[in-house]
Amino acid sequence: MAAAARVVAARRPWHVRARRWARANLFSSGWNTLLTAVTLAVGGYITFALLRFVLVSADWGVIEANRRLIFLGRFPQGEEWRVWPPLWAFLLLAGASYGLWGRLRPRDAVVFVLSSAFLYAFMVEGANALLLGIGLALAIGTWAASDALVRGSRYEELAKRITVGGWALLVPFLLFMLAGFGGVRSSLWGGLLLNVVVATVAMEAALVLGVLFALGRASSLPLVSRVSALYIEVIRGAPLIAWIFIGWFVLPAFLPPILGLQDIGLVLRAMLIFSFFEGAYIAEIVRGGLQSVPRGQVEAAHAVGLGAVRTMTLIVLPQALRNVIPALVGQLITLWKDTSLVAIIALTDAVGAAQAAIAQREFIGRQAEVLLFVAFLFWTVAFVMSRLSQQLERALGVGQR
Amino acid sequence: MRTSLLWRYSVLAVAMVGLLGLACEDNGDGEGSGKLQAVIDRGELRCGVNDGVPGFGFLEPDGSFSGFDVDFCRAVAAAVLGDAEAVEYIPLSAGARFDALVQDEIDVLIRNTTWTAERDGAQGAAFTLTTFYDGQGMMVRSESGITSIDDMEGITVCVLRGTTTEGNLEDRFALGGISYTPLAFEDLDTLEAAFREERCDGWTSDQSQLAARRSSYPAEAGGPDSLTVLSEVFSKEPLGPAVRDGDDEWFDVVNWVVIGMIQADELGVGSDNVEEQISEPSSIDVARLLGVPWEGGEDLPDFALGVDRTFMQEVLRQVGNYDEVYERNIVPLGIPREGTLNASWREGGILYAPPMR
Amino acid sequence: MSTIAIPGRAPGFWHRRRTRRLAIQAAFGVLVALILLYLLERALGLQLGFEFLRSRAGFAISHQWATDFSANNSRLDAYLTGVWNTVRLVVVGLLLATFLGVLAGVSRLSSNWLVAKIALVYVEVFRNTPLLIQIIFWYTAVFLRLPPTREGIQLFDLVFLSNRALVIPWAFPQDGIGVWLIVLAGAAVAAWAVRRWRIADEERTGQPGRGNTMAVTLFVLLAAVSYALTDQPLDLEVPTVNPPVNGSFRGMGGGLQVSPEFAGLLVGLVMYTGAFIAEIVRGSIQALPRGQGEASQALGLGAYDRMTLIILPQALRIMIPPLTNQYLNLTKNSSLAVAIAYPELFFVGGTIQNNAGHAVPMFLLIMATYLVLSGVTATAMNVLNRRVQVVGNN
Repeated sequence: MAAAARVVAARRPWHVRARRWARANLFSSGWNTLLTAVTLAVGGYITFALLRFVLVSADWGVIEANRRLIFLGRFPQGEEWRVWPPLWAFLLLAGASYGLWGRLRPRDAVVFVLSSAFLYAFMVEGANALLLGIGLALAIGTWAASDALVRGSRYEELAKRITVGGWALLVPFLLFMLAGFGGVRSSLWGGLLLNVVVATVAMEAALVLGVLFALGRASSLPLVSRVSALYIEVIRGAPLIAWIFIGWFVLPAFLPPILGLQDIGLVLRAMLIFSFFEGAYIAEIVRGGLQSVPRGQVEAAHAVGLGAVRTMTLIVLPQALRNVIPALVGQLITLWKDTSLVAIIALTDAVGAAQAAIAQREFIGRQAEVLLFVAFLFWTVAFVMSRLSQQLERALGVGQR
Repeated sequence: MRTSLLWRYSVLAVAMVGLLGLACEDNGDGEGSGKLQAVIDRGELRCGVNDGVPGFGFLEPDGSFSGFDVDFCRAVAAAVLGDAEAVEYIPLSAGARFDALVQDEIDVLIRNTTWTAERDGAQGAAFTLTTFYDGQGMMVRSESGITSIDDMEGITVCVLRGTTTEGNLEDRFALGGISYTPLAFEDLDTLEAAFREERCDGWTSDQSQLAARRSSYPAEAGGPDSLTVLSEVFSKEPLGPAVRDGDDEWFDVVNWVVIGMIQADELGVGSDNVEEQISEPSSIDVARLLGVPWEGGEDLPDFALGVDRTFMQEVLRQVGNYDEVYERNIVPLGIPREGTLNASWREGGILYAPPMR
Repeated sequence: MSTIAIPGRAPGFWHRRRTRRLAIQAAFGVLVALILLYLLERALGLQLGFEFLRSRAGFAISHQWATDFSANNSRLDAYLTGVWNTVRLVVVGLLLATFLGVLAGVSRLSSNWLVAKIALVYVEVFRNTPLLIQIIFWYTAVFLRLPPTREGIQLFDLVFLSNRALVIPWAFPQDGIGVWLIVLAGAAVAAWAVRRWRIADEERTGQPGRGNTMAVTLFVLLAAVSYALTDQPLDLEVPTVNPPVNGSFRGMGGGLQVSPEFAGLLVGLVMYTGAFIAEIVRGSIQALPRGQGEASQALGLGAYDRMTLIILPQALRIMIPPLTNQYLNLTKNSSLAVAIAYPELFFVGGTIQNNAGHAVPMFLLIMATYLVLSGVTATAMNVLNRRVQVVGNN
C-alpha cells in the first residue's frame, strides 16, 4: 500500500512533488510557516553576508602571501619534499581502507571531487600540483583496486592486515621523514604540519595511555584503581592550557638530567602533554566501554579457560572499544582542535601563523580572512574525522548485537 | 559508599597545595654546568628573542628573524661557534622569557629586556652590559588632542602584561592621581589590532618599541603621522642580554662580545675594514680587540674568556660593530643615534666600553 | 574467578590469588611512591611556598566584578579578582549556552526542514572548529571592528554598540530592594499555591485548570503592584555617552556595560559549548521511547506543551551527566581568555607568575582553584541529578 503510494508519488512531475514536500516540511502549520519565514530571513541574511564576504569583499591576498607560513611555518626552504611521502602514504592508506571497509556513497565522491578542485584552484601550483596529483591518483587507484579486485577475493584478509599495519606505521614514518637522515629539527616544524604531527603522535600515545589507565581504574586491586582514578581526576581538573603552561614552565625542572632529557624541545613536550592530558579523558571513555561489556562475556571466557590477561585483551577490550567508538573519535577530534593551543606558547602552528599574518603591515584589517581560512582548515579535518567515524561504526556494526 | 563530589575535590585541592606548600622557600639553583661547553658541543646557540617588534626582533614572512637583538644573538654565535647563522631562535612572550632562561630553555635571552634588581636577583637572570638605553613612553592618536599624561584622566591604556611597563604605567598614573583603565595583552599583535580599532586611547611601551610600531603604522589606519609619542619619558629601561645566574664563564663570554662590539665602534673597526685591520692593526687597542700581534711582536696575553683570543674577528666579519648593527636595525625606525643616550660617550652619549686589555 | 586451579591440589603459596594480588599491589605501590619521591625531590630545588602572594601586586586590572582591587593590594587580591571574573563569565556562559543548546538541540528534531538544517549547520560548524580560533575571531574580527565610541551605533536610545563597550539598559537595585524581594518571594509562594490548587481542581473535574496561566498572571500582578508601592526598588538606566573631553570621548555611563573582551570570550564559549549541548539534547530526546511523543500527541497536547511537559523533563534525566561534563569544559575553557585581554584567573595568575616567578606554587594554586570550581559545578549538578531521577529507576 505504502509502496504503491510512493510509486505514484514518484511519477508526479517534480514541481508537484516539490510543492508537497514544502507543504509537509516547511508550511505544515501557521506556526511552522512563521518559523520558516523567520529562519529564512535570518539564515538567508547570514548566508548572503558570508557569501558576499567570501566572494566579493574579502581580500584573499593575505592567504596567498602566507600560504607557506600557514601550512609549514618556519620549515626550511628546500626541505618541503619531506612532507610529500607521508602525505602520499596517508592518501594511499585512506584509499585502501575506503575500498576494503567503506562503501562509496555519491555524497562522499562529490566531497572528494569538490575538495580536490578547491585545492587545485586555490592552494597548489607548479611542482606541488604534480606532487598532489600523484597523491590523489594513489588514493583513487588503491581505492579502485581494493574495491574491485581485492574485496571479496581470498586476499581480502591479508590486504586488511597490511592496511592496519600501514596505519600503525604511518606516524613513525611521518616523524622519520621529517627528522630522519639529516632532517629538520622539531623547533622548525610549523604551521598546519605541526598541528598534524602533534595531533597524530598524541592520538596514538593517548589511546595507549587511556586504555592503560582505564584498566587501572577498573582494576580490582584497590591501590591500582585509586592511583589511576586520582591521576584521571587531577588531569581532568585543570584546563589543558594550564597543563601546556606547566609543560612549558615547570616540566623541564622535573625531568631527570640524564640522556639529555632536559633538552627535549617544545614540540616533544607538547606531544607529551597532549598525550597525558587526552589520555585521562580517553581513560574515562574506555571505562564506560568496559562497563558496557556484559559480565557473561568474562565468565564465558573463563569457562573456556582463558586467563585474565587474554580475557581482557581478546574478549573484553575489543568489545569495549567498539562500543565507544563515537565518543573516542569525538575525543580525538577534540585533541585535533586543541592542538591549536600551542600557539599560546609561541609555537608557530597554523593559528600562530594566522596571528603573525594578521600582524603584517601589508594586510591590515584582514583578520577575518585569515581566521576564517585557518578555521576552515581545522574544520575540514575534524569534519572528515567525524564522517570516518560514522563509516567505522557502520563497518563494525556498533549498536548491533 | 558515595562520598560527596565536593568533598573529594576539596581534599584533592588541599592536598595539592599542601604537598608542596609545606616545603620551605628555597631557591637552590643548579650549579654552573658549563654552558659554554654545552653550546660548543651542540654547535648551536639557543637565543630567546622577540618575534613581533620590528627593528629589535621580528619574524619575517619567510620565516627568518631580523633585528637589533637578533644581531647580538648572531654576534655571540659568531664568537663562540665561528658561525653567525648557527642560532636557533626561540620566540618568547614577555611572560615566558625568564622561565625559559632559568629552565635552561635558552642559552641567552636577548629580547628587549630591562635590567632590574628583581630580575637580577629573584628571577635568576644575570644582565650583561646594556646594549640599548630606552625609556617608557606613551603613544596616542594625534587627533585626540592629548599632549601630556596629565591630560589622560579616564582613558584606557593598552599595555603588554607581565612587563615592567605595566608596573611603571601604574606608578606614573598613581603619581599624578589620574584614573585610567589598563588593558593588558599577552601579545603585541593583538594589542596593536586593538589600538588600531581605537579600543584604547594610549599605548605605553618602551620608546623604541613605540617608534618602531609607529614608523610602520599602516597608511590605511592613518600612517605614522596620525600617531604622537608624548615627550615625557617616565622610566629608565636599560635593555640588554641576560643569561642564567651561576655560570660566570658563560656570562663573561656574552658580556665581552657586547663590549667588544662597542669597543670596535669606538676604534672604528667594522665589517668593511676588519680584514686590513687584522693584517695590519692601526693601533695597539685594535690589536688587542682582534687578538693579533702588534707590529709583528709576540702574541698578546690571553684574556682566558673561554673563547678563542680572536673571537672578535668573526663577530666583526659576520655581524659588524655596534654602530653597524644600530644603523641596520634602529635607524630605519626613525631613531638616529646622534644625540641619544645610545651615542658613544665621546659624542655625548653614555655608551662606554670597558677597556679590552 | 580462579587462577590456575589444578584439580586435586591446593594452589601453592605463589599461586594463591591473595598473594599475587598483594605482590602486584606492593610493586605498584613502590613504583608510585618512587615517582612521587622523585618529583618531590626535584620540586624541593624550586621556589616553593606562597609567601610571594602577600607582596604588593603593582599592576591594575581592567575588569572588576564584586571586588575593589587596586595596584596597592596584594597579589592574592589580584588573583581573587581574577577568580571572580572567571565566576562571572562562567555563570553567564552556562546559562546562555544551556539556552542556546536546548534551542538548537530541539530545532535539530524540528519537523520544519529549514529549521532542522540550520541547526545542523550551526552544530557542525561550531563543534568542529577550534575554540581558540573562534574566540580570537569574535574578539578581533567582530567586537573590535565595531565603530569607536564617537561613531557608536545607537539603537532606539536603548542599546549602544561600540568597540569600547556594549551598553544595554539595566535595572540597578535601589534602597527599597529588600522589601520588594520579600514581597516577591511571598508572591511566588502564592502563585505556587494557586497552581497546585488549579492542578488538583483539574484532576478532580477534568476541566482545563489553566494553572500556569493563572499563577503567572498572579505573580506578575503582585510584582507590579508591589513595585509601584515600594517606590521603585529598581532603577532602570539607559546608556548615555559621556561628553567629550579634549575632543575625545571618554566612555559611557548608565546601563550595563559589557566590554568587547568579555563579549568576545562569552560569545565564543557560548556558541562552542552550545553546539555540544545541542547534540546532547538531541541524543537524549531521541533516546526516549517514541511512544512518549505519540501518546502525548494522542492526548491532544500541542507541540510546545508536548516538548516542555513531556519530552524535555524526561530527556533531562538522560542529559544531566553529559551536560555536567560540558559545564566543566566551559569552566576550564574560560582560561582561553589569555588569547584576548580578559583578566580571569588564569590570566591574572599568569601575570603574577610573570612578575614574581614561582611557577610551581602559582600553577598549583591555579589548578586547585579549577578543581574547586569544577567540584562546585559537579556537586550542584549531582544534586539536580538526584532530584530528577525517578525513584527506583536508578
